[in-house]
Amino acid sequence: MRRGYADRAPVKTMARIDTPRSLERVAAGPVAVGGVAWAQTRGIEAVEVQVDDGPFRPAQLAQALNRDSWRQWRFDWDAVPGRHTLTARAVDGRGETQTETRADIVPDGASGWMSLVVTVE
Amino acid sequence: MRPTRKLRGALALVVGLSLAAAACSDGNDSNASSDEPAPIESPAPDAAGDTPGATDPATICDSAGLVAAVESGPDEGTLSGMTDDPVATAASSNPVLTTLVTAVTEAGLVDTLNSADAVTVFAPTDCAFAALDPATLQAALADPTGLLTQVLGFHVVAGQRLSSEDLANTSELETFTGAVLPVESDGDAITVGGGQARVVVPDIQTANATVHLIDHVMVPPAG
Repeated sequence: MRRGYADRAPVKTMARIDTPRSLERVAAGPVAVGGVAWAQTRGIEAVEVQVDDGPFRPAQLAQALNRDSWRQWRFDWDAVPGRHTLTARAVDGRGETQTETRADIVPDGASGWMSLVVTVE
Repeated sequence: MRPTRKLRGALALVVGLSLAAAACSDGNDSNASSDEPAPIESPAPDAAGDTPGATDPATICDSAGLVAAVESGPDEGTLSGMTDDPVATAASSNPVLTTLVTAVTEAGLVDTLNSADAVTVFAPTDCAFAALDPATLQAALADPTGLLTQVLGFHVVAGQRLSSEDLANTSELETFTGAVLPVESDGDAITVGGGQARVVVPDIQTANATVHLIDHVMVPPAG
């Protein structure tokens, strides 16, 4: 049992990568990178994806149901062979970009940009 | 047109609801689900080594000592406590893996390890890192996405959770960096990396990985 949670913990803006899976091997060429993003009460305005140390580029967003639902996103990646790191971040409805600063779940929720490594063959 | 659009809307709603349900279950501590938005959990540096009078983990090298240290650490880092956390999070609660956790964090591999579906990790203990040439460790830490990732990657097999029993029936494994890791076994003794390291505590279960503690850091073959 973990203790020490804050009394108030507003949901933090977050983008999650669901595909490809971490450490997956994928074929070179077009790869659909996808996931969900959320920022309850503020909504998701954008999701951006970075490949290795490249620039953050905008992902396509599925239609927003409302400001509180998780929003699906997709990024078409032209994958070249090698080991690559994919990083995603979201921008909320107030135009604020998800913080890169990492925080633990305790006391008021995890933060940071999710990244994962895949191998392109 | 119309039915399709309706169907799509309904599907989106169902997806939205199940995601919301997953999010809600996160507060429920007894059952950390794989859907929890926790990939982003950073290791807590204060989780280990704070116990007054605790032995320097780098001096704990034998199997019995390692198990005793793990079991006397924080609840989440005990052998049973680690089973419901993803591997990097579980390791961060473990008192004998502090250097490994630092290295994984520096390499930016916390999310990668936590969100992988199934992995086998050969985890060098603090004792193992203490035996490593400090210059090698510094050089690796100075090159987090290069040398460090290359070395750490040599300790990770993606896509499968291999038990010590599986290892006993294996002669080599492909690690996630592509380098081949030789495995040898003689009775209960398992050696990996072409004699570089010995498994000292096998078969530690975390939510997404099987972890074997090893007594030396392995260096991948050149090239």
